[in-house]
Amino acid sequence: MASVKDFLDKCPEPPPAPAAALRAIAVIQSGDFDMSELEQIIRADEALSARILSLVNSVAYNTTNRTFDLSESLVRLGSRQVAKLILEQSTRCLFTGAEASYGVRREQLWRGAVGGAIAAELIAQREGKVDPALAYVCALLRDIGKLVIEVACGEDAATRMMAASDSTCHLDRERTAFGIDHAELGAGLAESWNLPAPIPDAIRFHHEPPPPGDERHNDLFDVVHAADIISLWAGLAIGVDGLEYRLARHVQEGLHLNVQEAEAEIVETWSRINEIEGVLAGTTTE
Amino acid sequence: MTTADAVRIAKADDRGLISIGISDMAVTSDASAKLVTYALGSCIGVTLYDPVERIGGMLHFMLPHAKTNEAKAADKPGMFGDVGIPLLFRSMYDLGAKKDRLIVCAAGGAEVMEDNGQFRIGTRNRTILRKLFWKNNVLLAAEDTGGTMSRTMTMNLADGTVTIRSKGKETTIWPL
Repeated sequence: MASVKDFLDKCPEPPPAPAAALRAIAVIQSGDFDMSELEQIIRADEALSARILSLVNSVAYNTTNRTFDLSESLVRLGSRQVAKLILEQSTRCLFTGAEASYGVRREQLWRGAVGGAIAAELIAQREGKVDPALAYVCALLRDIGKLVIEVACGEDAATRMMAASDSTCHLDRERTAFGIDHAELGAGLAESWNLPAPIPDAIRFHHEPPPPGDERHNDLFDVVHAADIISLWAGLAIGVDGLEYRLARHVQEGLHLNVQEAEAEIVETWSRINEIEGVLAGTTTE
Repeated sequence: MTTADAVRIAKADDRGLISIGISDMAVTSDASAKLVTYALGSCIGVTLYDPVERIGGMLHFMLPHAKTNEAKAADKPGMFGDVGIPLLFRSMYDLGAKKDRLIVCAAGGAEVMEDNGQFRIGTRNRTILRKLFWKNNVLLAAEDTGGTMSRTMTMNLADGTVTIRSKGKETTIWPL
């Protein structure tokens, strides 16, 4: 297998660390959701400030008192919501900065990232075994390895993957085409950004979570894996890889995921993505 | 709910395309347009075409049954096959299409690998489609469903041609 370092070295410009996201992750990891630190991050980002003001004045917040004061807006939203907004906005820049990846139009890759993050948060809240905020972060970043492949291989990436092998598993095709898959590359990129454990491993195992009994097993990885499948069922970011990923049996059983819950989470994920896009549509220009 | 509430009577963009998003549907009598929906996975795309009136419609539904979330179904009927499909047909009739002339095609309904049978979202989507068509004496003229691949479905209103793009290849499924 090719090393992550070799592959990253081939990139003319590896995807840059999203600075605001890294600082927001540090706040989330600390557990205290320090609003003053979050406000500093937001004030350094014009688009993020605009989005916060737009959201807090939107019908979703059902407020009659419009405000254009950023500090007041942050208090109204609450620190957890603010941390998520920082993550969504900064990873949006990361994903949409790439060319069309994996046969997916630019904005769609980010939709898949956020859709998976929303699903991970829902599952973590339902199961109660994993911190929903951490599950959200890990799922949001789970496909950053696709960006590395795109940057390193350009428009040929999709063609090389499709021609690589007859396997119906997309990870096998990536390994044949590039000597490594996007999950491993994403974990390597996360490590190069100095993201703390267990985030790189959650990215590494998001398609193949180790089962119970394996010393690497972690409930967080199972949640991120299930969220990835939910986002596929919601039709988010389906590219040349289609639905060519395995649904781990121990995740179906361990998360007590049944078809009714899965469908309810698909609807909720799709609905929340559309709410986010509705807010963005009023604050950004593409 | 009336047709006008839920279904776009669409005009093409400057590329001649009418794009149908997930849980979306549209009908049109613009014979210069192409209806297109991207990246069908377990979702299903349904096209209807009346070759006499040159009226077409397309639906991209995500899940089989509205009972999953009745409130969402009322707001977005195109999300669910059991309410979206009948609404698409009614919208076509409202534009002047006749049932006995309609050419009906479908694509999508793929599955993730090693689903042990508990979920089978794509298969359940295909089942609701077939069940509704069987009950209402509707024949599928052509389909490209199942498997694990992503599909983009396009219908050309000029002649009703339906094409599927998947894995870098384009195939015409109608006319056969």
